[in-house]
Amino acid sequence: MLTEKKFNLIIVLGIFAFSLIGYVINEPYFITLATKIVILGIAGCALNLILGFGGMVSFGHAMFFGVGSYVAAISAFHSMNGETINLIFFDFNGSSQMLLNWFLAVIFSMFFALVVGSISIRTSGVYFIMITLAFAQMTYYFSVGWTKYGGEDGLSTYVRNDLFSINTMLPLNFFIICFACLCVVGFILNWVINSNFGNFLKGCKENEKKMISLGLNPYTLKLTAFVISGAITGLAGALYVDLNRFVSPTSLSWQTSGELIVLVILGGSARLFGPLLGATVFILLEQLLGEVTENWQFWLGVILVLIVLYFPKGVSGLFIKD
Amino acid sequence: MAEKKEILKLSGINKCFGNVVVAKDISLTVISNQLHALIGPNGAGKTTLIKMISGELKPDQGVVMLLDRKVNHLSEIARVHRGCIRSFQVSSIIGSMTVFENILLAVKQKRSILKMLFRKFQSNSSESSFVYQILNQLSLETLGTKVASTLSHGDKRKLELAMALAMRPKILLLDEPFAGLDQAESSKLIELLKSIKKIMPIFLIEHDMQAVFALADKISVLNEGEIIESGSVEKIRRSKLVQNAYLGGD
Repeated sequence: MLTEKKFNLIIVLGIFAFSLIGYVINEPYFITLATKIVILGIAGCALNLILGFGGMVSFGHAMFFGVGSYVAAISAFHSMNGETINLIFFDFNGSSQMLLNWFLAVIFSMFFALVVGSISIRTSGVYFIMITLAFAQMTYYFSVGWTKYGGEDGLSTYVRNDLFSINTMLPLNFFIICFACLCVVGFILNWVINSNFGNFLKGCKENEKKMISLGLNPYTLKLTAFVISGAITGLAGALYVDLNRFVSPTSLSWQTSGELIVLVILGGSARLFGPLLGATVFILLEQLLGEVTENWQFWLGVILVLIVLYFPKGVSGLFIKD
Repeated sequence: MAEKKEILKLSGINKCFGNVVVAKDISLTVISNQLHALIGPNGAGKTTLIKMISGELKPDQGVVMLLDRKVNHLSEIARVHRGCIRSFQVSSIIGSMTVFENILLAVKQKRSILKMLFRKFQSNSSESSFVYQILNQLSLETLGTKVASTLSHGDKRKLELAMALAMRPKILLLDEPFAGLDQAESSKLIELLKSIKKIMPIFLIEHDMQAVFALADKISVLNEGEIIESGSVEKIRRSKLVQNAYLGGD
């Protein structure tokens, strides 16, 4: 059994090594898979902050993923076609710079998380699940009807955005960019979880009444966590657009929200990089089972049921000692 | 002799749930360095009263004064910040954390969100020594690293009390702290509360009459939402009203 620190290091280095193997044997698809694992891992870890550590089961996190995706895609799209976006205070020509598009994606996702969270967090349990789902479906149907940006067909950005002078079209370069984002997000989440805030959040999950009797406001604590989580999920969405050079309403759908929850449960909630392992297992199963049968989701479901029944701490629980 | 100061004062508290009257014109005072016990049969309205003092419930009528200031309009959290700290009928701790961490939570509670985010959850030397001082006071010093959920029932009650003390209360509201304790644990808790009441006022709700008579400086008896008697231990022991309503006298 490993300590959580060693486990985190092994999983991160393992993904990096997988990508390098792809580079060495000249198999770019391996690198793309590793990049997808990293991006979904970021989104899963962000959801884990509120689900695993805060006890809030958000069934609408695809909304922040999708908002991040759409914001980055729209900015890139306008930069390409030269059409100006008329905002209230100024005109924006779009941008092909990754850093600016990430920033915009994070800001918009934060705003959405603040609005949705401030309403949703007044509820709990199944009501919280349903209200977050309802908000996500609202944005989903909005994007379906938003024909200016492709509506149901989605929006293509054709080329990846730029980051300094790096050739982002090379799979390994883009993987390294995403990997760097994962490291930064991992550092931030590790800090938050181990801060006073993170421990009060864990206290809220376990005994909200006690936190009130300690003079703390659970609503503020949970809303802050929700906004941080939404912002990081938005960043993952922006990276996902650059990976696929395409965004569609699927990124806002309840299936995507469900997938994010699966990553957390599969990998192990309340572990910093549990969802990263969840994303690894999920993507690999998708590839391996997909080669054997078209109905790979059925077998994934069977595996998920077994994990929930016999390994409530997820796959990471098999490796990490308490 | 030090001047006795009114820490908590209730005047004319009324509360109804629909047609059921749970508090009827309740007035009482807790003064400094006093343990004021509230006794009464099940369903008399004792826990409802503690909830109205702590701010979890609002009275329909009446005034709650804390340290000479009306606090009716204040939330539960704001009253905690004024020093009104309560314990619960059922042990209320964070089971997944260690005993030390539980107390540290209580020590670190007066922080803004930003300060909470940017500070690691670890104790500095003064916080550590304060936590250990409390652990010693409650004879929990050997259990600091133990996960709270694995503690015995008695130790969980002590931990909850330790968390309350760590917040340096101006008044301590204890809701049946003796519930579920065996004889030996009760005796230890009686001694502990005797030492605590010398430094801070306590408002105690309790069914264990032996503990109440050993500890209380003043007892109020609540029956069907109404205080039917109030006074010293001897007065309550002799009261025919109390015997009829609560102690089952002839």
